[in-house]
Order: sequence, then C-alpha cells, then structure tokens
Amino acid sequence: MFSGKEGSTARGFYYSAVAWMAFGMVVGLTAALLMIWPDFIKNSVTESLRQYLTFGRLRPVHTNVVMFGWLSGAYFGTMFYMLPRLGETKVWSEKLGNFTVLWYNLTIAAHAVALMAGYNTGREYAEQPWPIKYATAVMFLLVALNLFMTAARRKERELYVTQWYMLGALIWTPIIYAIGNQFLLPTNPISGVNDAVVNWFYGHNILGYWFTPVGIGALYYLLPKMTGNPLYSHRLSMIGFWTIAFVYGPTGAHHLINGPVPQWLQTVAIAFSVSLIIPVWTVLTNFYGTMAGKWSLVRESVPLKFAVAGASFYFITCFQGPMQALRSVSAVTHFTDWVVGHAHIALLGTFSFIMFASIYYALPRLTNREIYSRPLQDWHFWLSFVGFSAFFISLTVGGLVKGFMWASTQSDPTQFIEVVRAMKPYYVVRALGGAMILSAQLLFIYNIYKTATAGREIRVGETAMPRPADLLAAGGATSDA
Amino acid sequence: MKKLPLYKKLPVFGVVAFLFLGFAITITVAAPLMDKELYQPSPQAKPLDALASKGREIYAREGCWYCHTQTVRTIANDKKWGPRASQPGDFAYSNPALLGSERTGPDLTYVGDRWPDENWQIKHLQDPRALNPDSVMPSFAHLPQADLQALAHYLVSLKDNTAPDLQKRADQSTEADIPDVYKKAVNPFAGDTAAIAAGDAIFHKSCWSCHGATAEGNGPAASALKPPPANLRKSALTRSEQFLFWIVSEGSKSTAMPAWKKAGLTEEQRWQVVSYIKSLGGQQ
Ligand code: HEC
Ligand code: HEC
Ligand code: HEM
Repeated sequence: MFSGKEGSTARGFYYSAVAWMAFGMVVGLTAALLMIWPDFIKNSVTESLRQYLTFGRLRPVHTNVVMFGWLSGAYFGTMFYMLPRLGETKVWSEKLGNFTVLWYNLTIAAHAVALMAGYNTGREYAEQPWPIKYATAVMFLLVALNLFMTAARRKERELYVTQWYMLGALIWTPIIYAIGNQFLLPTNPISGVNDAVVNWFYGHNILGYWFTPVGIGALYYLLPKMTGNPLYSHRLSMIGFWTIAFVYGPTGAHHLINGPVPQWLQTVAIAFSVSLIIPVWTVLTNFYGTMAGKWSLVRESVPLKFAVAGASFYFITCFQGPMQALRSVSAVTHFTDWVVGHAHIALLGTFSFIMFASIYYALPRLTNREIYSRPLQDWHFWLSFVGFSAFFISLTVGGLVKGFMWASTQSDPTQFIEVVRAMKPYYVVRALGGAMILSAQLLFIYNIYKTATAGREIRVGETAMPRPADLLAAGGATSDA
Repeated sequence: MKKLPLYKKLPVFGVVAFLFLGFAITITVAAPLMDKELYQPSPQAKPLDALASKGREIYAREGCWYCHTQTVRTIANDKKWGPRASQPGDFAYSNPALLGSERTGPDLTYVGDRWPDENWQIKHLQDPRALNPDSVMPSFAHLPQADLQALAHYLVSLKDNTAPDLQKRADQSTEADIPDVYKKAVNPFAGDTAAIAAGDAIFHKSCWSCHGATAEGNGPAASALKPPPANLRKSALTRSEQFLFWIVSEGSKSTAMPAWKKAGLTEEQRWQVVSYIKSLGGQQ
C-alpha cells in the first residue's frame, strides 16, 4: 500500500506541506482582514456558518496549521532529504515514511476541523483536544524512529553539525510537546497560574527546541552546498548547538514578565533570554564566515537569496528577543502587535524562508527535474520579501504606537477604543503584506507542481541544478549527493 | 561489517541532549509545580457558580482570550485596568488559566466593575459596533441565547472581590444613603468652567452610550437596560454633588451603571464629570 521508492517520503512531506501552507495563510489573511472589516464574513455567509468563521475560531486554525502543517511538514521533508544524504545511506523505511505522511496529513486536518468546530482547550498552541494531541505526539515519534534508525545505519560515521541539530530536535520535541500539553492527560491536571507557566514553557520551547534547531541545521547544510565554501567553523557551530540546548530551556516565563508568577522565575527567564545572544552570535558568525567571498552568488541564486534574507531576519529576531525579555521593554511591548511581528519574523521571515531555500535545493534532487521556471522563483522571492517586510514593519511600529499610547496615563479603559482606532492603518498594511506573501506562495506552489510534472529532466551525470557555485568554485564541504 | 567507531555516540548524544533539557524542566517546570504557595487562593479568588463556569467554557471555546487578557501586571501602565495587580492566588480556581497574551481588546480581569449589567454585556456581544463604532470585536449574535446569557453572567462576575462594598441602587437611594466617606467629599472644581469642559469631554466618551448625547437617558445601549439609564438632566436638579460623586464612583448596585472608581476614571475626572452633570441643571 505504501510506496518504498527512494525519496518518496521527502517528496510527500514537501507536497503536503506547501498545500497546508496555502490553506494556513488563507486563514491567516482572513483573520487579518477581520481586524479591518470585522463583519465581512458575517455579512457574506449564512447564519449557520458564522460560528465557524469568527476571529476566535480562525486564529488557532491559522497558528496550528502553519506551525504543524506547513513548517513542521517542510521540516520533516527536509530531514528526510538531508539526514540520509549526510549519512550516505538510505531512509530506514520509506514505507513507514509514507505512512507517516498520511498520518501527518490526517492529524493536521483533524486540527483544522476540531478547532473550527470550537474544541479549544484555552491554551495557546495547545488548543487541540487530547486525542489530536496523541496523534501529534505519534507523528513526531514515527518521524524520530525512522530518522534515528537512518542515522544509526549511516555509512559516513562522522556526524556533521546539521545532524546534531536535527537529531537533537527529534529527541527534545516529543518531550516538550508532552509536558506542554498537560502530559497528554485528558483531565488537564495543571491548573491556576502554573497552567500558564507550563503553557509558556511549551510555547517558547517548541520554538527553541524544534523550529530553531531544525531550521539552523538546514541552513548549515545549505550554505556550504550552495556557496561551495566549507563551513567557516565546525567548532563554533557545536558551541552554538550546546548553548542553545542549555540556554533556551528556562526562558519560557519571559512571556509572563511583570505578571502573576514568582519574581525568581521571571529573573531566571530574563537572564537566560539575554544569554541567548551567545548561540545566535555563533550562527551569525558562521553564516558570514561561510558566505565570505561568495556574496556575488546571491544575485544569481534564488535559494541563496532566501537563505541570506532568512539569516538577516534571524538577526533581527534575535536582537528583539533578549530586549523584549527585559522588564522595562516588556512593560511597553507585551500584549501589543509587536509580539505578533516577532512571532512572524521568526517563523515566517526566518524559518519559512530557509525552508523555501531547502525546497528549491532539494526538489530537483528528489525529482530529478529542474525547477520549472526561474522567473517564477524570482517573483516568489521578491513578493515574499517585500510583502513580509511590510507585514513586519507595520506590526512592529503599530505595536510600539499601541504600547506607548497605553503607557500614557491619560488613557483610561473606556478610551481603549482610541488605540483600536489608531491601529487600523497598521492592520491595513499588514493585510496588504499578507496578500503579497500569499500570492508569492501560490506562484511557488504552481512552480513546484510544474517542476514535478513538467520540469526538464536531469540526465545522469549532470548536476541537479545549474548552480553558480559549480561554475565559480570547485569543491565544497562535503560531496554533493 | 567493520567496527563502527562512532556508532555508540548516538545514544550517548541522545542522553546528553536530554539532560540539557532536563535542567530547564527541573527549574522552570518542576519547581513551580511543587511550589504550594502558587495554589493558595487569594481573597480575590472565588469559585464560579455553574452558569459562570459555563460562560467561561464558552469564553475559551470562542477564542475571546486571543484578544482579551485577564491579568493586571505589576507595573504603572496597568494600574488603569483595576484596583490591584493579579497575584498567583487569584487563579487558584482557574483551569485553564486564560491569562491571554494580547490586548486587541481591553483586559477583562475587572470588567464586571466596568460593565456590571448582563443585558449590556449581551447587547455588546451581539453587536459591538452599535456601542463602539470602531470596535473590531466579532459579533456573537449567532450564539444561542443561553450561551450569551452564560457569557454575560461570567463577564459580570469578573470584579474586585477585595474592596469594601459601598454600592446601593441609585434610584432607590436618597441623600441620607450616601456613605460617610462620600458625604464629606468636596468638589475641588466647584464652578470651574475648565473642569466642566473636561467633564463634558469625559461624558461624551464614557457615558453617552447609555445616558445619551443629551444626557437624557437615551443612548444606543439604553433600550437593552433595566432599570434604564437615568436622565441626568433631572438628576442635576434633584441630586447633590456628593450623591452624584458617590454613584459615579461606586456605581449603582445590580444595574448597568459602572463603578467608575474601578472602571478607570481618576478622582479628578469623576469630579469633573460631576461638575458637568451639575452644569446641565443650569445652576453653575
Ligand atoms: C478580534 C478580537 C476580539 C475578540 C475575538 C473578542 N473581543 Fe471583546 N473586544 C475587542 C475590542 C477591540 C474591544 C473594545 C471595543 C469594544 O468595546 O467593542 C472589546 C471589548 C470587549 C468588552 C468590553 C470591555 C471593556 O472594558 O470595555 C467585553 C466585555 C468583551 N470584549 C468581551 C468579549 C468576549 C466575551 C469575547 C468572546 C465571546 C470577545 N470579547 C471576543 C476585541 C475582541
Ligand atoms: C452601561 C451603561 C451606563 C454607562 C456607560 C453609564 N451609566 Fe450612569 N447609569 C446607568 C444606569 C442604568 C443608571 C440607573 C441606575 C439606577 O436606576 O439605579 C445610571 C445612573 C447614573 C447616575 C445616578 C442618577 C440618579 O439620579 O440616580 C449617575 C449620576 C450616572 N449614572 C452618571 C454616569 C456617568 C457620569 C457616566 C460616565 C462616566 C455614566 N453614568 C455611565 C447606566 C450607565
Ligand atoms: C499570509 C501570511 C500570513 C498572514 C496574513 C498571517 C496573519 C496572522 C494573524 C492575523 C494572526 C493573529 C494575530 C493576532 O492575534 O493579533 C497571526 C498569528 C500568528 N501567525 Fe500568522 N500569518 C501569516 C503567515 C504565518 C506563517 C507562515 C507562520 C508560521 C510559520 C505564522 C505564524 C503565526 C503565529 C505563531 C501566530 C501567533 C502569534 C502570537 O501569538 O503572538 N503566520 N498570523
């Protein structure tokens, strides 16, 4: 029943992930439009459908589908592509892999349906009812099993840094997921303020121990491949790995600064958040070191453009993060749209961009076909980049305006509406940016579809994609797969 | 097969990676979970009745908490959201905690002090833009009446449970009912036209939706309210400044009239709006 063809799991994850991305972004854009025209759905659907389509129902569909359907799906595809190649082996079981693809699709669909139907536990990123939490945990475990077996059977015994990051994430994520989702117990035993403490342990560490390491791991794979330069410093990347592993964990309570949690917990979270500068610095040093002398390639290669833009957005994210954790800064930015901007620059600007680069890099090698259209790739990049910049700047500036309006002592709760009114132009720009991002992804999906069905076939012996690196420099960190 | 030198590293790597995370789990999950103080109910914590609990479930289900927080921070910026900052014990009976992470709409920790009337709440839930044309809150008119009632009952229950109760029904009270602290209060702005102008501005932001732009008790929310909002032009003639200041500060018990002391008007602002009401009687 399930295909055992080489590369079929990675392809399955990639194709599904981009479809979920389109769905998740349509929902995100709808939510963004509701912030401008709150009644536009109410006025355009029948009474019986309205309950499924309010902001409060759509928002968790958006967040869960883009985080677990799109980004995690793309991560799975990338790991199923990179890990066998780094180990010079094959995926342990493509059959199990294809079963996992099916399982993952059903799980994400269940998220979307249940959340729209109003099954919501009231915990951010952990909204889904418990049977779906089990399905998600099983999904992570199936991926972890397959990839650990793959790694155990690798022929190249040396572990490259990408493997450390990805395998580490596969160990951490199921644990964090289980703790953060109330130990997967249907009774939700953790109550009171500790519910918030545990929720944010999870909400932050799903970023720190899943989205960050896999994304960074992929970047460490792509950069040497695409530039032809060896990784600037393997040792630095290892320091980065272990400091992330150590420093990220205790930062969750920075979501509760000045809130009803013990002062010591806040202080620990702040101290560790500021220390995150260290792993970030290792990543960025390595990034610039590896790029050295190869910046001219960026002009010619779209995947490299995405990687460079992603790394730059990563820099902004990680500059914001430690700052936001300070009590005085949090006092202004917390609860505003600034935070939504921060969430998107991490997950969309950085890690989604790295995944676009990964897909452009891996797909020709998985399908043996060239990417169908180069101009479409350019459009994909520029629309995503400009759209995202508008999106991010509007939320960041709007968030600051909001925060400072609140801080001015004159505004009492009944005048809250003044702030709502002041946000409107920022919400309009956000929605415009979102529309650009969504259109870019539709072009991307069309390009992928055409690549898989009508891309020029690559003959044996030919490199998969005419990469500038092949023309300008010989040799890379590792041999090409 | 040749001996694989690094093979054993994988399990070792796994264990070390796990231990690194274990450090974080120990200090930021296990330690708070074992801290008994965090579960001690505070004077503010109050178990909800059955209808309010149902309302809270609907609040979680409809995702109200993506736009509304229920936590007043310990900083000056948050003072306007209520008389006291939230403490761990306030949430002793809360599961889920529903602290929220964004304020697209107002904090609701003490919303029952601001909008104490269930009918007002239902009207607002059904059509937020009727009361606040620029609101971006969704309309919940599609919810069954029972759900709206439960939600409204829950929202009204969110109030400060620690302050002394100085509330009475305004329309059933006379000058004799004014609590002592208010009896002795003196309007610092008596006759000051600048204060009347300031009160005018406050009135047309905070009061008109019930009392009407002309203060005759006929604002857009009025039809939903029982008892109806008072005709303040009449009150200007019949009530003393002290009486008005008391009701404006403490609200009117079991009616829609908010306690503005808790709903975000400073003492100065409350006197200004009282001066304005008085001026409607043509006496100042
Ligand atoms: C899209 C974000 C959004 C959602 C979702 C939302 N609200 Fe609101 N809410 C607002 C905004 C903005 C305001 C301020 C304007 C107004 O009064 O309508 C507000 C105001 C309120 C107020 C008045 C608070 C005050 O102090 O003036 C209450 C009560 C309230 N909302 C309850 C709810 C409930 C209950 C739900 C869920 C059924 C909900 N809201 C869902 C945005 C939202
Ligand atoms: C949510 C609707 C609502 C809002 C907003 C509101 N009120 Fe009222 N108010 C009422 C209702 C209802 C009554 C009648 C209470 C009663 O009959 O006991 C009332 C009564 C009063 C009274 C007592 C009048 C009397 O003679 O008994 C005063 C004074 C008053 N309001 C002032 C204000 C001021 C000042 C504001 C704005 C800062 C305000 N109200 C905002 C609903 C509201
Ligand atoms: C077309 C593109 C997108 C649009 C228009 C969009 C829009 C939105 C909107 C309107 C919200 C709700 C914000 C609020 O509650 O005020 C949101 C939240 C969120 N989105 Fe998106 N989004 C897009 C893409 C993405 C992608 C690709 C990701 C991740 C991979 C993502 C991750 C999130 C997260 C994590 C949140 C929660 C933010 C928080 O809690 O602070 N979004 N998005």
